[in-house]
Amino acid sequence: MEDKEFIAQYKKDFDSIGASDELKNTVKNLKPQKPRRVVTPFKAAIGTVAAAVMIFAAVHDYSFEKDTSGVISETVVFTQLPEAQFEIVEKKDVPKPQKATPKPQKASVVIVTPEPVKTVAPQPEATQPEATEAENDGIAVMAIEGNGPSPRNGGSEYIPPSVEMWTIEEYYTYLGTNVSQKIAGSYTGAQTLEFEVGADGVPLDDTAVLNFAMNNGATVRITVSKLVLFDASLSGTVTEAGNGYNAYKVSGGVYYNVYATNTTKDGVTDLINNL
Amino acid sequence: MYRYTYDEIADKYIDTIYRLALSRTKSHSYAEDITQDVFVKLMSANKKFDSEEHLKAWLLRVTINLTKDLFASSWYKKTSELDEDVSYTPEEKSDLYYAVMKLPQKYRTVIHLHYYEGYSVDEIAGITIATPGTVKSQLHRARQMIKDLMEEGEVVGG
Repeated sequence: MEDKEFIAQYKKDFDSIGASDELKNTVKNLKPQKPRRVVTPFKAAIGTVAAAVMIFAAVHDYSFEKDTSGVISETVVFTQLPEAQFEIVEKKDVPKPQKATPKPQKASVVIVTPEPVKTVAPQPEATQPEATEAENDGIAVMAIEGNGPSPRNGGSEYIPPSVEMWTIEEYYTYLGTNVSQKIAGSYTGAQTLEFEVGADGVPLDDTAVLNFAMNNGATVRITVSKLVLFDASLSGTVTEAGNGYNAYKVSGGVYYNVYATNTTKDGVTDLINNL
Repeated sequence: MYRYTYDEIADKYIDTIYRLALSRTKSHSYAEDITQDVFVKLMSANKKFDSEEHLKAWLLRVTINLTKDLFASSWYKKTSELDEDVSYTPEEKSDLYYAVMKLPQKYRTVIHLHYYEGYSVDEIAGITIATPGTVKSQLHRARQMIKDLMEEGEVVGG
């Protein structure tokens, strides 16, 4: 069989073969398949996280409709402590202490006094009940030991404390004490004074805890058994108020300042003032 | 870029695909399944073609691949003997047709592409992923086998 004859015969046989009408209809009615969803690792991770959140919310009975500001669960314990507010003011018109010795310029001491307590109307007698203003303010005011008026004992005039910045040497010169024996180590930052107060906000006694930071970063706590308040009439007086602390007054009013020596931390004597 | 619509392709090439599938499978039912699968592939591939010839070659290539998949399936291996139903045709065919159908599958493919679709040896090599030498050799052997079958009168039609 020649090629042409072969081709003609082969074509003739296959020309009569074709897809059935049913197949043609089926093919024409094929519908595009949905594009296959591509799940990337990112999508998978997002889905996993979302599922975990939903499960977590379901387990903890968390309602997304509540106005919880995103807080799923929390336990809040409020501890109300006496609040002391401090301000630091550069030294201005402070009477310089008598400089008996050349002034060494080394460490400095920041003397910080609390914000003034609300002025209490002067009480005629020191035997008046405890002032309530300070109680209401929640600011701890220690019982007064010693002389002079105060918000607690019914002072006739309340002079807001001021803040002075003295060097340690100046301070000790002012105190008239031996600087070389007193200064050993120094502190940094502000101090806090913790009082144990009753339900009415009044300190239960005159015992407080000093918290202050040492230069090496360590926090030292000292229990101060007494705090002494002075007034202007005792200007320049330094009272040795007990083991571990001194009370003093700087010029111009009532201070809660306490100078204490710390003998509780490795025998280091630290200077504490500014309460 | 060759622009086409699915309906145009279906109208124009469904018979071409069906015939190649029938030539390779020797089964109308398999040929129908293969034809349908080819168009499903075309639809899902959403492929762009350079020319109509490119499109036709792609369709034929897919047809061949799908039949290969069919031949490799365990289902086909178990039932292929029963499904060779080319002997049942609504119309009487020539001895040549039956002689071709008696050829091995690889020879039927090259014969069909060369003598019916009019592809050259090189084009067939491209479609079937074979060397031109292989295609040429297969064509030669296929022709010789057809000649032998027809001379020996071993072709049984109908």
